[in-house]
Amino acid sequence: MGTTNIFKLQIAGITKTVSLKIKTTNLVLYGSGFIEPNAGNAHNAGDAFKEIAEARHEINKKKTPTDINEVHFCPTDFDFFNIINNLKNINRLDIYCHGWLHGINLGGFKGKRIINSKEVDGDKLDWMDKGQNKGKDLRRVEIHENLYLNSTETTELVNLKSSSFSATPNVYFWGCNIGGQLDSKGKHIANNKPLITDPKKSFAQKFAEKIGKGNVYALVGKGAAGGSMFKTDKKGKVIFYDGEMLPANISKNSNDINTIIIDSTKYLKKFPL
Amino acid sequence: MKKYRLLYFLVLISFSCFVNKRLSQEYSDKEVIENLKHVTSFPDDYFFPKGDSICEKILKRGKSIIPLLIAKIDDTSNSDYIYAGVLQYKVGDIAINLIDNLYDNSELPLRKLLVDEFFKKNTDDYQYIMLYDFVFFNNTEKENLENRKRFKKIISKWYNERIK
Repeated sequence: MGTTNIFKLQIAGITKTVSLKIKTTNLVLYGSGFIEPNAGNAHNAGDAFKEIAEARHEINKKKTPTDINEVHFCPTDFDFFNIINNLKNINRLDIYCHGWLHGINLGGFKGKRIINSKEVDGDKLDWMDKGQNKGKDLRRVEIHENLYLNSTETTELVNLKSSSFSATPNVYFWGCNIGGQLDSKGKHIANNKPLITDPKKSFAQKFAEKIGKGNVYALVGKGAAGGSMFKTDKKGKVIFYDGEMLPANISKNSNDINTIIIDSTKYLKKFPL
Repeated sequence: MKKYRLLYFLVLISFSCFVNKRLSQEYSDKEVIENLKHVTSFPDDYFFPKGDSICEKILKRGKSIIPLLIAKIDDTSNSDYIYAGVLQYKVGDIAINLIDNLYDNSELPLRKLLVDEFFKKNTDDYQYIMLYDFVFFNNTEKENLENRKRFKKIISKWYNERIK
């Protein structure tokens, strides 16, 4: 797979047409399992985002062995934009992380990490600090930053280079509620509680509008709480090999048992709407 | 003599104020706890950083309210909280979630306490939220209740050892 670009070269009065095939890139990004490094147990996914991202990477390598296939740990907004913006011709992007209607939460990190050429100690950072460019901002990419944080910024998607993507990219957000939710009647809305009806107000929609080509997909499920869950085998053990997650209500309908047999693609909504 | 009488009187008033304050605090703590069943949003990183108004009131009390929350762990009356639109939480689930919220994950090893008590097998490949439901939801009502009672004892023991 690849994109063929045609150039006309003129050397010493002679014009030659040259076609150049640029390899396409399949990128997988994953955040930390925790909501923030000190958060409680309920939403801590442990290493599951890492494991499912690696499974997706293996699928990409098998399907498109001649493409550039990359998988990266991405615990901050700096990593998110830095990785995407420094790649070319991204044709498929899968993102495994926490999320909500207005953004993705990459979780932050424990230990030391280089952020913007500086070493940052995640164990000493206040990940709940709501200041602009502080802990909470660092671990999230959001479209209404000034509503949630003490910030003058609105959407952080201004930092995203759409030129990093191919002409027809497919982007998949597997985390919770990034493309909105379904109401009790199954209608696609933005959010049940607080009630926000228009799903065009979601992060997935704004991401699709920003890149302006191809499709963005996000898992959408029912209910005010909940979001996405990992698939399981017959014993309820989480398994990752198909690189897919499921809406929580669908998983719960099977008591979280043997959900690997359920096809997730039925529950993906396509953006822009 | 007059001086002593005045002193006695002042001490009596102070003591009575102290007792009244304690009683009213205890009463209001209990009153707040009675509203557990009406919780519909836990604290999150997004729309409800402090949870809904009931959560906020309870969590404002800090760790002093934990014994009252522990007492509710085996309360199986339905709450208004419905997970993913399909799973109706019991009052006991609200209590456990709020206890979890009152500690950092390094302080309260909730997953470990659950696993040590209920699972003999290796649970590394299981999500906490699934293990939780296996213990408290996915059995007969009687078994679910027995498990809640067992877990109440475990949390109670953990808490009492901590405050010693």
